[in-house]
Amino acid sequence: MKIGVFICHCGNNISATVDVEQVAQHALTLPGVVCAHTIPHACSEPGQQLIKKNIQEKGLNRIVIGACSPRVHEATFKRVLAQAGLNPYLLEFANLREQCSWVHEDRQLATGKAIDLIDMAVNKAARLEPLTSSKVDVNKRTLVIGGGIAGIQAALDIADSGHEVALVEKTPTIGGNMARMDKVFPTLDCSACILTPKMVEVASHPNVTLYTYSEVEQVSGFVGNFKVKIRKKARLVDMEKCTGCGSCTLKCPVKAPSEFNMGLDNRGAIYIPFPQAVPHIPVIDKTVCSYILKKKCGLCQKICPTGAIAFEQQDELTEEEFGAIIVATGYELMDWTVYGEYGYGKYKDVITSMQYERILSSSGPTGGHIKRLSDGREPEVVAIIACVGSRDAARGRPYCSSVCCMYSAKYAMLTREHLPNAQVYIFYMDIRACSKMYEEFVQRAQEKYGANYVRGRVSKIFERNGRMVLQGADTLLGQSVELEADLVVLAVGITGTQSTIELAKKLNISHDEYGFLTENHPKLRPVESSTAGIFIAGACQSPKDIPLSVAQASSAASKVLGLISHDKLETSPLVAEVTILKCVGCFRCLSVCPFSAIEEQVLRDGTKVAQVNPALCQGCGLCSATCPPAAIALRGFTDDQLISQMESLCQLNPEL
Amino acid sequence: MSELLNELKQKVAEILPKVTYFIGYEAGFDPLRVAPVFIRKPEDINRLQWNRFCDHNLATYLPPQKRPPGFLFEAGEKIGVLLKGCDSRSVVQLLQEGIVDREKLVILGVPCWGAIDIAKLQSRIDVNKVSRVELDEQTIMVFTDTAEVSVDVSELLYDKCKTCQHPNTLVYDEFIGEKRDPPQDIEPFALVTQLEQMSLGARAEFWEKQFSRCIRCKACRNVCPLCYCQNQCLLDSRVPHWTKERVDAKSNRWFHLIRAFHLAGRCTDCGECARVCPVNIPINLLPMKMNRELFELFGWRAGTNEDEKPPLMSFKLEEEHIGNDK
Amino acid sequence: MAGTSRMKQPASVRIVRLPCTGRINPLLPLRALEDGADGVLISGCHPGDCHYREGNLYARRRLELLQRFLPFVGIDPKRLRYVWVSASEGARWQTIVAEFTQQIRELKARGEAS
Repeated sequence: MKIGVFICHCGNNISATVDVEQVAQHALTLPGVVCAHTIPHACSEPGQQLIKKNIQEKGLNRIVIGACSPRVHEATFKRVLAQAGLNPYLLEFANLREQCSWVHEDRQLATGKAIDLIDMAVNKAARLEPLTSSKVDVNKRTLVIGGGIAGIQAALDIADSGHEVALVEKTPTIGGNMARMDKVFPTLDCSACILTPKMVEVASHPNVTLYTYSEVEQVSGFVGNFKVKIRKKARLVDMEKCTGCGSCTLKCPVKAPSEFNMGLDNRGAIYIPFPQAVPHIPVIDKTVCSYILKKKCGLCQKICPTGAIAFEQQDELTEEEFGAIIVATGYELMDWTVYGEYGYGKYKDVITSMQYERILSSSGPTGGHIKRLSDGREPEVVAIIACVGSRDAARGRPYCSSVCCMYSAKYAMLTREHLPNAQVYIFYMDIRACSKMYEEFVQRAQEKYGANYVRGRVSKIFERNGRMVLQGADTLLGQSVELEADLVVLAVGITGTQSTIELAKKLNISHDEYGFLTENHPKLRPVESSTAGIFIAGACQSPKDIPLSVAQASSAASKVLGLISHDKLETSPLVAEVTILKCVGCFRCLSVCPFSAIEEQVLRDGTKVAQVNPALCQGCGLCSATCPPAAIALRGFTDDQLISQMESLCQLNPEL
Repeated sequence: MSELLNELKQKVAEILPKVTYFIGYEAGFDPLRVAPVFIRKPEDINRLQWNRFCDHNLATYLPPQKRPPGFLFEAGEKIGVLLKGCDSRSVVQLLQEGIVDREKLVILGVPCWGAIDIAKLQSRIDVNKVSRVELDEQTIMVFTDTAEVSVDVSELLYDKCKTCQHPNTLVYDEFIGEKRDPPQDIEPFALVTQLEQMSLGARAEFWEKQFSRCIRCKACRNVCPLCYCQNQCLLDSRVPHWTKERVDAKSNRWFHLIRAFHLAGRCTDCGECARVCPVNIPINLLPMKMNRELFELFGWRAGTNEDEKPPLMSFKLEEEHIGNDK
Repeated sequence: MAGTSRMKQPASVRIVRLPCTGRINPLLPLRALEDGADGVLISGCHPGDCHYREGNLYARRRLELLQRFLPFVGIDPKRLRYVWVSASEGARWQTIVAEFTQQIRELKARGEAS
């Protein structure tokens, strides 16, 4: 055993509090240690060179580095070992910065502790074994979950590169929230005009398998080799036979609120969500269909020219394998009815932004005419209230929706284009218009379209003589304001969804309290989830507009392509390992393994012993803590290694 | 008792053709002792005994890992065994762990009134010079060449028998005799509760005295039906380096703590470890303490339910009896 | 996080790094106590938030049992504590370490820890 110890000054991050020379001197007294050096910056080029030189000249075979957190530089020093011809797993890290110099002030105590930490590391290092990783095949197929603009973009990017993609969407059509929008900022081109071609393209792409009205049921496996069960919910319409003529949807006597039109009008029990839906095939809503509920009607079945109505259809489960997964499950509007002061939804002429999108849309419930929902009258005054459910910590939504400034300005323009005589008022907190052409867009709304911006919150809305009265404060003028409006549009904030939280659990990826998925690093790994091989794109990560969603989707796609461009992946060697001779075949390890990584193996004499699949093993060590004779060990954290660390720390008996 | 013994012999005669051997009790070296016996031939059936001295837990012979040399399983082989209620709990636990195969066992069940702890006779008569014993349901008369004593059997029962809730075999193929009504108002962990009356320091001292006597003969481990790791036992392991071979109170305590944790949620309170201890350490109390806690936390009694997952092998996201903000 | 934010902590704590609380055989903390550690503090991800799915849920049961068992052999259960602290809860970690260290110091002052 030839152990080399290297203590980093980290500039003076460590050496200001820890006497690194004393620590190095102490290290030299430990069994097996043949050299101990201090280095100003171990991670720098000269630092790395010094370590390499010592490994090669002194024939070191275990390395202890006392520096920062292993999270920061363990990988760096593993590389150094490898470059010096040493197995990278013969490295033990002592965290002298985050766990010592940064959190202590007394130099003597900190130095004493640093000595102990090096002691523990040396003792563990003496018990390290060289480890090698194994390789697993990478499945080249990708699963994209969510068929909004982000999911579509990611699927297309990957499919265009020549790889297979499955796109799973839980509603009957792809398109997502973007399909609902009328015109989009900052260009004011029609949303449908830019989205619909992409919807058609993705559906007809030879490399894309589209699963609409389907949900991810179960996910197992690991990066490069995910197994996913997909539930294809019964549409009760045979997709092969249906021609999408839509006769059934016209005859259906049932009325239910249209999800696509945000409840502004009704659809049948059998319906196509919107004219440009992809696939253009109806679905039967089992919760309202009279045939399903009461075995009465069946009108759609009678009139269908191709006999496509299939009341007997059942959900289908299919299992597929993928190498990578992109989650692009989007957002919802937050529940604005918690705002009692805005009427809890009881005034017909107080509507949400997404409802206004539908009203503005020429294919919407009013044919693109701006009308009051109460009496059908054209409004003379339209008031828009920004930040409803955004930047409001008291209502549990401290974050910015990142889009309502922009679409409020858009509403001002579109309203004036539809009704040139109408007055538009926007109540706002601040104007955030930080992207390309955004500030100019807002300026245009104010200057060319005469939008009246009132800085302040509306505190109350009530009805007076058939009009909506808004009371609030103008914080620029420092006075209270009252405005009579005919139509009030609430720019409702954005939230993550419950179904995304449920999906995150199935995928074992992190999410925050609002239902947004957590990226692996907020700056440097923005589209990677906490689980390798699973990526995130679009508003499921945080509120964002279309350009950003699309950019993130392409970014996730490029990460996926980077992953699947490998034929094989190296797996971590820090996995569990069974010593066959010691295994008594109780299989408690198999019973507790959260990753189904342990199997029964029958030896030639018929004895059954446990066996670890290193590709499935994630290295948690639960099996190792469960095995009575310690026949299964987690490499890098074996009982022997941990006991040796504990023994040295207990012998030291620090003065409290 | 003698009727039960006759019935037992009849049943063993019936099943013997189906099994490789039948494990029961035979007379020991004096009238107070019995010993386990492996009956292979019909002519040996008469050696069988069934009386209040039958204290061994025969389940210990069942795990394939523990099979003594010369008794190896062969294809299609079955084993017959006589099990008391307490012993059958061990088998239920072994079945739960998938260690024994129910198909390979032919179990004869019996009602049990509790076994006599010979150590409790010692103060009344020299138990090593006994020439004759007369036993009925209530009373035992013990004779040596020079003395005799008559004792109420209930005074001589093992402590574990006084807190037993399972007088009838739980899992069996045939039951001999009539089932007893399980006793009411039993506090199964009374012995643990008793020790807990002591102060923390007094208890530390109590155990120090106990462990300083331990000679590391490992009889406690070897007799335990649930200690089936044999050569691989962690207590013999050098890598990983769990125990030291030193015999002092501290090392001995560590030895027994390892054993206790390996039995957590598995020990069926058969008390064999304490019975065989040559230096009389009540070593069964350590796993019994775990059993009490696991019963209070999760309602778990090892060896009573073959189909339920043991509490340390499972979890709930919301634990009912563990504070979530620990 | 506590380290990165330079949150001051008692210098008497030595950390043994493990991938997951699920790796903790209750014998490991028990061994530390037997070997002379004054106290053992175990910290892991919050239940339901295990990086390895379920490890801490098993650990919770095993450590709770250990804690309840300790006094039976004369070890003060206050010498063991298990807590759930996520990587982002630096301040919480700081408080817990300070509290636990204080508790152990008091035990030692009373001569109750080893």
